Amino acid sequence: MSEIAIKVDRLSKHYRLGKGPAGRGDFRDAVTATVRHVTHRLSGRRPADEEGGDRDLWALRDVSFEVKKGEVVGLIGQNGAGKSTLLKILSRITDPTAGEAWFEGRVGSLLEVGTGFHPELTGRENIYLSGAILGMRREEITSKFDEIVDFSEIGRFLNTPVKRYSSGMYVRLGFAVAAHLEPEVLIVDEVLAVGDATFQRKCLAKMREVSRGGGTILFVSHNMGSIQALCDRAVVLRGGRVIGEGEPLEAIKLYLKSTTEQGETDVAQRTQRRGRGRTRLVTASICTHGHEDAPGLLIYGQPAVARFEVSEVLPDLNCTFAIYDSLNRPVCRFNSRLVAPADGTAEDGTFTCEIPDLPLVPGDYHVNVAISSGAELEDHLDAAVTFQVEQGALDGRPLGGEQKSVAFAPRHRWLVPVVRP
Amino acid sequence: MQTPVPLIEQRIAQLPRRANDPPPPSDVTGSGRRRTYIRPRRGWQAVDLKELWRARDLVWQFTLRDIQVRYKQTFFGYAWALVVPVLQVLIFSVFFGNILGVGEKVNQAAGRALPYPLFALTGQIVWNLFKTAIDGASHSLIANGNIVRKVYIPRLALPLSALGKPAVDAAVVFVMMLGLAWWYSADARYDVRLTSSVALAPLLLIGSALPALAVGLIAAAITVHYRDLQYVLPFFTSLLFYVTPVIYSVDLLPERFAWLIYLNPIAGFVQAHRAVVMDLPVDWMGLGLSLGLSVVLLVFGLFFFSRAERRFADVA
Repeated sequence: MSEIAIKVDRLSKHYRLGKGPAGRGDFRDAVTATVRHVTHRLSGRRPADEEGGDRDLWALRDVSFEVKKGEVVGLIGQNGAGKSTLLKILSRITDPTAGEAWFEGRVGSLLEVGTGFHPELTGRENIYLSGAILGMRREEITSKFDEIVDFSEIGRFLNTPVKRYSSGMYVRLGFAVAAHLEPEVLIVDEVLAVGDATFQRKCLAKMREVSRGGGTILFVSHNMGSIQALCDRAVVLRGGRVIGEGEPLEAIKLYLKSTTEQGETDVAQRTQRRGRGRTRLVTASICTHGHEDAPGLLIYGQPAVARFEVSEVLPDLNCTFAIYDSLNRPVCRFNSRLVAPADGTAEDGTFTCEIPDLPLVPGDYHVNVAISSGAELEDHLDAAVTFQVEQGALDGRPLGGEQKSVAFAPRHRWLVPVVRP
Repeated sequence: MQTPVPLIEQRIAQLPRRANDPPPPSDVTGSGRRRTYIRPRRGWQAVDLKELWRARDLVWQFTLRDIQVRYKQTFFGYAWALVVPVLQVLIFSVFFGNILGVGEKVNQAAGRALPYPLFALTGQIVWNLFKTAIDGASHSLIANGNIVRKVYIPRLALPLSALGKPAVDAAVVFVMMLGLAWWYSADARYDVRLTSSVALAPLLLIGSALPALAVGLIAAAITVHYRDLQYVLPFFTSLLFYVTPVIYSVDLLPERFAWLIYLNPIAGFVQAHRAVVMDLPVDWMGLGLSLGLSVVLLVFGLFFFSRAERRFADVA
């Protein structure tokens, strides 16, 4: 089975950021842009737009790979690596700027669950609507209708408008329709992130079923666990380029290495960030309390301190950071907006978060940081800091070897029955 | 992040350009399965009507959705389809029909005693279909942006299905109009006769969807890039009302310039629709001119739309 199902050949996608001459705008922008263009033409100079390249973004650059028939391939990469753009091009939602791709057979693309659902319509009506949007014929939907209803478990709510559904029911119904499309090529974005654990297992099972039936799957996830569990191969994207591909475990390692490498560049120098940018994160560190000389090293059982310095102190400034383990699973999250009586104010522009109990087990971790003022996101950085947890003891209690496979080892106290005389 | 790239257009030109190769867009390979190619499209390209035909169920589902939603969201449901034209015709009859004496002039020109309310309604039904279809089609991409950004559909399905709801409204009003005509035909003061030519009326109503779709497609395409249009378009269409023979008849215009009114593509349909319902002479030249213009506009609109919709997911 070496037949190719998807071939991607030097795909590139270019975006103009802001109000590009060909982008969204109003008549005034278009008129001024045209006038400027003409005057520059006449004077023999180039419009300033084309010289200042910082408004241009290559979301994808010469991306090539192949997926064989029946293969399940994962796409991994940080936010902004181009995964979503690639899926959009392969789903034919947007055109590439250059290069080409082809696939064979019926394609089902699932970038969102429940696309096109109308809140006023009932479950039954939405099954037909959503099915048609995904490319099913009416008689096809009718023939699979009972299966779809069974799979979604909406049962007696079939004739209720979906606006009255719980979010779980909504998502289940959306996936149920998509799951019965029976595509030969399935393109899935991070849809498994929604819904509860039971539903996620069901989705994964359905995807396995598709792949066992000879279907090809291209699939994006931030959950390295499901990449590992589901994929035959994974492609790693970074900054719009493919930086490697291979066995899932190899690819995950490569991805984490690229994340860590990024974690080593100075926070202030990073360009992959989101937010409005009126203030920026300039330094970020995490260390064991009292051991500022050894940043990035925590010892199990010892109190930790995280520090985040911003360039500008704005009103109502908040800091959120989340710790992720080496498989990119979120472990815990801290938010300065959720205040406690013991909180205080800082003298300078540095958020300090003291964590007396951080019972993480030994391993590698990274921290994503978001700074916001009011409701506005100012800055967001993936892997702003990375750190390592070393063996240690909590309250004098050592960590056993079996603790490697768990997420955390909290403070605790035993009362043990003993033989009394 | 990429290093700044100067002269983007030049760089794009250097990249392998395959857009102008002979296109094998969706052909069948040796294995018998359809192979779909994805590559940059530039410039004007043929409209894929075959694909649209394959998506006919989708067009139907979108149409059904709009009708179902309308029926569910409003208390009176389809009663509204009647309320609006009834009020419009009432006001026209009071002001133009009676006070301003248009009704009398119309009767003089036709040489018959025509009831002005029926006269106005036979025009208004076509105009309302035209106007609401333009509004629907021109908004269809933006209104369904959440779908267009998340899944591939033949996007022509959207403006096309936007015609459904106005068509149903028109059908409801059409029945009322026939009832009104029958009622007047029994009234000795008026010379109203329903003849077999009424059978042509539905055809003319369907035909008036052509210029509506054409204008709607062009407007939808422009709206992709310039959102301003969605706010000013209703203003322009309501201006067009004054050069449409709804509240007056073409006969009242100076004869030398009367034909100019048919450059308004809906004018021919309004005039012909009224003529077949009220058994008046049809101005076939005028209808032909409007129809021809509509077809030209529609072909242009189809190309223009499919050229613009490509970029919709990027700019929306």
